[in-house]
Amino acid sequence: MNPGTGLAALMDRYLDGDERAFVHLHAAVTPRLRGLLHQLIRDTATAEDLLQATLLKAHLARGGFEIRGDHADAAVQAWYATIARNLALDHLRGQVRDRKRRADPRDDSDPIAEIPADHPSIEEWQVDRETAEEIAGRVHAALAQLPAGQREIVELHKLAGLSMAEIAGRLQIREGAVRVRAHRAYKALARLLGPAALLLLIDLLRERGAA
Amino acid sequence: MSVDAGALIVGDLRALRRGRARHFAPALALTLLFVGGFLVLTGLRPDLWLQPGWQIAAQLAVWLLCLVALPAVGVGLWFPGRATRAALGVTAVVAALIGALGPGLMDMFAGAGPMGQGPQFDRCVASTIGAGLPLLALGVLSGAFAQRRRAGGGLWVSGGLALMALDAITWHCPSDDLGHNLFSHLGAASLLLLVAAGAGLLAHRRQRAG
Repeated sequence: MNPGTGLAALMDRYLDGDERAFVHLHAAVTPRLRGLLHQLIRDTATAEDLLQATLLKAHLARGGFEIRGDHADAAVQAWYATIARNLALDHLRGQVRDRKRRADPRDDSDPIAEIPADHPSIEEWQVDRETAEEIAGRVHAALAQLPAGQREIVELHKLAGLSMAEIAGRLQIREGAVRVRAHRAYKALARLLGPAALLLLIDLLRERGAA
Repeated sequence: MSVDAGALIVGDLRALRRGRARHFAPALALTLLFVGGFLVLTGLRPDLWLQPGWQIAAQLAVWLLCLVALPAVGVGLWFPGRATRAALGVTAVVAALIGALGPGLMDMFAGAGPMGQGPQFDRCVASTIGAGLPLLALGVLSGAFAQRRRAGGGLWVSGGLALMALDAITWHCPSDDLGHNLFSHLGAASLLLLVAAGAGLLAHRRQRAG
């Protein structure tokens, strides 16, 4: 049975953890996203990779999703489309950089310095699956042990990329309170994961959360 | 080879649901222990199994709804569609009325029911509220009201609490007086529903905010 009608209703239930709603939402948004990515990236295989990356990134950042305006269904489409477009643009920028480097091999500037720290290439997404699952498992377990309010702030800050002031505005609490909760959350995560693993988590979240 | 994001996400959501189930099972066991203890201490009504079959069936339906179905919706373990949710709500109200009032309900519709008692604070009101408040505390402390994104999810938990207290008092008090059952059982359960909904809303705000 279809668990809901519009995209917004499906999104709402997906955000509550309903996997059936996600399956329907996935089926509804994927064709348009695929079309958009194929328009931007002419290579089918790369577009498919970017589509998968879009879905993963949206999943990691779903805590920050919020419907604004009257067109709830369109807001869901727009949210996914924005993530897909950003990933596609990052990929195209990377291609341009590569072409420039190949065109001028005598360029003695440091190629590593040209790699933007905040934007992962598509290759970076394709980490070894077992390692990714192990890290995701540890991170998931650690995040699950945080109080909901602290977890929400970590997700909004590191995944959605919001500033402390933006988070305070969204949650309608003082910025100082957001900072206190964030401090407590990272302290708790350091205790749960160990400092080295926390650094890894923050790097991982920054990479995956760059919008 | 590209990763299958859909499968990974479904796996993640399943893990989330398993985590919720792990919290739900002990809370259910504690609730059963508490309700069982309440009925053992206060005593079952002597005519429990002498009630009409349809009334007993309604009371058993209420137990099933309040212990499993409504809390499962409230904490995000079960996501029924809109029609099923509406059916659950209507069934809960109808089963609660039939189970609590029994043949008195027919008398009420016929306009000839015995109305020996008006609103008053008696032992049944105290027992209903007394049975419900510890369960409400358990719900708040276990975070049951903060599992869903929207505060409305807590209403399902509140409904479950109120029905549980109502069925507990119905299985204890043998009164067939329509006035008593209406005011001291259903009225007290409705009051408990309001209190639980308010407390659930506050708990949702506080616990979601950290």
